[in-house]
Amino acid sequence: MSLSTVVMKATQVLVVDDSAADRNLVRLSLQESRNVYNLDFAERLSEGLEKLGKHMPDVVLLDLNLPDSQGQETVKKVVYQAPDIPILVLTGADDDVLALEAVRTGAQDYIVKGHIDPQALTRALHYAIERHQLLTALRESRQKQLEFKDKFLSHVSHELRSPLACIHQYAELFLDGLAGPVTEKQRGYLQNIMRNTGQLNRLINDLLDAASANVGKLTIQPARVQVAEVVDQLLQMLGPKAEGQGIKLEAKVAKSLPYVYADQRRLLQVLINLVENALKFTEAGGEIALRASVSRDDPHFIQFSVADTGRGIHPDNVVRVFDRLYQEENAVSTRRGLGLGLAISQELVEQHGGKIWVKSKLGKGTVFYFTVPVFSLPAIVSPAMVREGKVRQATVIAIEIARGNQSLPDEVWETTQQRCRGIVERCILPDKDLLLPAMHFANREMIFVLAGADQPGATILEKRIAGQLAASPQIESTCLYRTSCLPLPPIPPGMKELSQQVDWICREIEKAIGQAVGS
Amino acid sequence: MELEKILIVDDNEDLTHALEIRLRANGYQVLVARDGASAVSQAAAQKPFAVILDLHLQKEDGLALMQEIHQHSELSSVPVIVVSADCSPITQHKSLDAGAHAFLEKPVNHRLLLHTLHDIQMRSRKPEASKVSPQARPLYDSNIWK
Repeated sequence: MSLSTVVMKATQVLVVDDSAADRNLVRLSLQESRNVYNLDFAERLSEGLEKLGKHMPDVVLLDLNLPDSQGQETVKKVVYQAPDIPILVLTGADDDVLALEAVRTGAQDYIVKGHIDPQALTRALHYAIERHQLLTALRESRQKQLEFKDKFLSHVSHELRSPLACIHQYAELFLDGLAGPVTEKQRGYLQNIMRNTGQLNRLINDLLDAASANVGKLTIQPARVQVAEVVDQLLQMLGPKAEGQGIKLEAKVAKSLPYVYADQRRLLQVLINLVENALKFTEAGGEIALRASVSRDDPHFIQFSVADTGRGIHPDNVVRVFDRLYQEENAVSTRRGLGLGLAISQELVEQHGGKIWVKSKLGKGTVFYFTVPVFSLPAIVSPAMVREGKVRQATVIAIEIARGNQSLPDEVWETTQQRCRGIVERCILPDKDLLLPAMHFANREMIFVLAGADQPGATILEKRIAGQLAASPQIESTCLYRTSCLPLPPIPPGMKELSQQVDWICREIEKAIGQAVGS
Repeated sequence: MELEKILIVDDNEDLTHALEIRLRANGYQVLVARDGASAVSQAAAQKPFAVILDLHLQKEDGLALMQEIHQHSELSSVPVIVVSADCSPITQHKSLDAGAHAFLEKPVNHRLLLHTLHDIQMRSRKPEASKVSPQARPLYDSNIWK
């Protein structure tokens, strides 16, 4: 099959070359060819890029050394401007090395100027187009494979959950005596089933998390969180397990540690992953120490560390521990897990804007570190409150919800809080109002909205929120609530600096919140 | 309407059965429907005080079925508790906005479910309690904080 039968229509070629002689050589060579070419010329890279911006040719014939760009930079700039166009590099006889480099940078092929003849040029042009199409197809199919894998993973996880839930529910029926009296021995066995279904459920959650992390769907809902509270939860959950393995698990949280801006559930998940990981590689008699303090490198972050006295990670493997599916061999515990925990932790920490890293010494132990931002009202408030270099007028709306009665099960109270937050979130206007982090107390929760309006304007929003809360049977039956408007004073006229204004309004917001919480 | 009759609409037999045992043990009479048509006809004939509806039935859209139930002349006021394994905020709000009485994650936490059912029963006994307008709703008594 000759090339002329393959190419039916005219091939659009953009020649970028500053030498008139070279441009002429190309023109003459292609005129002699049996194929039809539409040639367009540019003498400078800027001119070439401009032409690429207006009209996409089928291929670019590119001289590396132009008056306004030299060497690999030339290829890079063209690839950046037109990633979908094949590039054939024109090079002087002696820069073969440079030409090869260009191919690595993104060009499809190169042709040496001294060797240009009609046949060679035609062939090189068409091979470049063909090769580019193949590469594009390959990239697309690889992308499709990745997407398919994640879809598959997510589907499988959902399908696995249903029968697992079934096993769990029936075991629970037995345990609750709904299938007749249960002996102590049977109870023990049933508890083993329950513990293992719980473990399997966590693994499935990890699979789902990993799948969503890969498609960028792992989301966090940050709030103002007290580190000590999360650490207490962790100790309650994993303390017994550590004790069972004969490992000392202790935590030290610096006194008067500032609040962090984090998703409490996700922060707990990261800590669980790190401590469970440490438990896997530490022998009986060892120690695991959890620390949290203000980062020495950056006071805007809290640094956590989980140190174990386990056998450490081999230096060759340290860089790989955060890879998905990475498995350290010879874990002490027989439960090796899926190798997803650290990859998910990394994704979660990065979503929070923090960093995670590890230091390890073979035979001595391993320390995992990660950072989470300190809660800062100005950082949250300023993007929403500053318009045209000034702080806008605003009003705080406080929504206080209280557990209807003490006998209300925790689960019901939690879903009620969630529903309330959801309602408030949907009442506000995202580009005008701002949902401030909620505050939790034993039997009440306070949700705050920073309404971008004066008091009469905010009252309308407050009424809307109250109306929506009243319309929800789930809320009405489980909690009591009230809403109130707390106007903020106008910025003092003498205050000109924007940062001063932001700090001032934040103090006023804090005062208003303090007043609402105390009342 | 009988205060102990509940209708479960779910096509997963094993899960439904476990739930059925649990609800029976708590004194409820349980009806089960595997599809929408049977759900509507059973509800109309038996008048349960609440319906537990799986959002993801194999052949039907749960929300559409809920709407069908609510549009039925005799079933318009039956509270529907939606259950789903997908507990994303979007799904929850969609269900609640479409008129669900409550949304519960699947597998259903039975304490949460029993509480919700109990609550519906209490309201049915005192229908006037739920008819308070938002403006007239009193602020809570401050001593409950203690």
